[in-house]
Amino acid sequence: MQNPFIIGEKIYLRPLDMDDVDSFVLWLNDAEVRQYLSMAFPFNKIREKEFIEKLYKDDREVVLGIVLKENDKLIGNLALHKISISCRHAGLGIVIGDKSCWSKGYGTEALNLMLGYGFDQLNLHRIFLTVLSFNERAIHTYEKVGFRREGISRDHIYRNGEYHDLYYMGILEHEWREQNGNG
Amino acid sequence: MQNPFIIGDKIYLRPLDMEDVDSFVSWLSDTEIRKYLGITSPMNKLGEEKYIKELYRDEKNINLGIMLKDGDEFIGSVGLHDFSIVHRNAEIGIVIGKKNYWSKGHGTEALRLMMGYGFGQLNLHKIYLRVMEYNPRAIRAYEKVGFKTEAVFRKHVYADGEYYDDIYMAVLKD
Repeated sequence: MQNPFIIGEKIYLRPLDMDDVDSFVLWLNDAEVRQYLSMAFPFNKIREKEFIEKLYKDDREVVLGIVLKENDKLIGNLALHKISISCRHAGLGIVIGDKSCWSKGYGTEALNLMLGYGFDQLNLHRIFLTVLSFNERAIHTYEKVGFRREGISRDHIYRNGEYHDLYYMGILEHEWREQNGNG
Repeated sequence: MQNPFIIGDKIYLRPLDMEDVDSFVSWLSDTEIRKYLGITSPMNKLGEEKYIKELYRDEKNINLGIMLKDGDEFIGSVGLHDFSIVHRNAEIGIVIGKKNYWSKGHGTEALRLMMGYGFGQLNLHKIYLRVMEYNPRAIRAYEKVGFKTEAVFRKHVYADGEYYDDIYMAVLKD
């Protein structure tokens, strides 16, 4: 494993570095991947390098790469954004950019690792996210790891020729502890 | 394919990056291409690097490279510029810089892909463009993909010692 930061069963999470730029530029431009993300614009190496240069300078943002243990292959990333020190909440984002790794449970495992990190190490009270209504696979995964649907922004996102609802989902510290048997 | 952003039949569109500077400087220096684009002042690598550095930073301009699927050759670019958030319109611009690929239908396909993106993903209402009257090949391509002439600015541009009309064309979402 290369610089493992959090180690799971089939995957581990590690810091992102400049060598990862090419993978992200490939994934984030892919129409199938990007339709689920909040951004609809092109992303080149310059913008991605800029993003990676800024990483870890601000402790209110934690971004980690998702890597397969079996071959050290980077398949995506996930992040806690905009960590609020006073409210103890953070937004979560995840992308599995390598489409051959979709629906294999890697996202679920990465989410569980990140939730554990957020609640147990960063002492968060609440983790929330937004997801497009047509991203059913993701919604199912979020529910599986304990997120609840909290709200809907109607027709919030325009994608593929029509408007789509944006769902807000969240999980609280005590819910996480109850479901993980250490409450 | 390298970082395909929109995939077509014979071509695909990908984000532009620093490696593309040299191609643009050579294309935009070419007399014939400059004449069609209405560019009258020189563009050097420094200026082009500055342009590419700022790309995709604000969400008001998009420029994508046109690539041949066969051989990953970079042949030109197509962009949507000056999005108006209120009016939901944008100007489209295109250049096939590799002249040996002119009149092969690649520009038409690139326009179609970009229009699909503009209307289908960016939710634009109208896409417009300007073309010089001495560029009939471009005008034909624009008409083919649905652009209609909306206005003619008479004797608006000066090229090779003469004044020419500048034609405004546009297409609405529906």
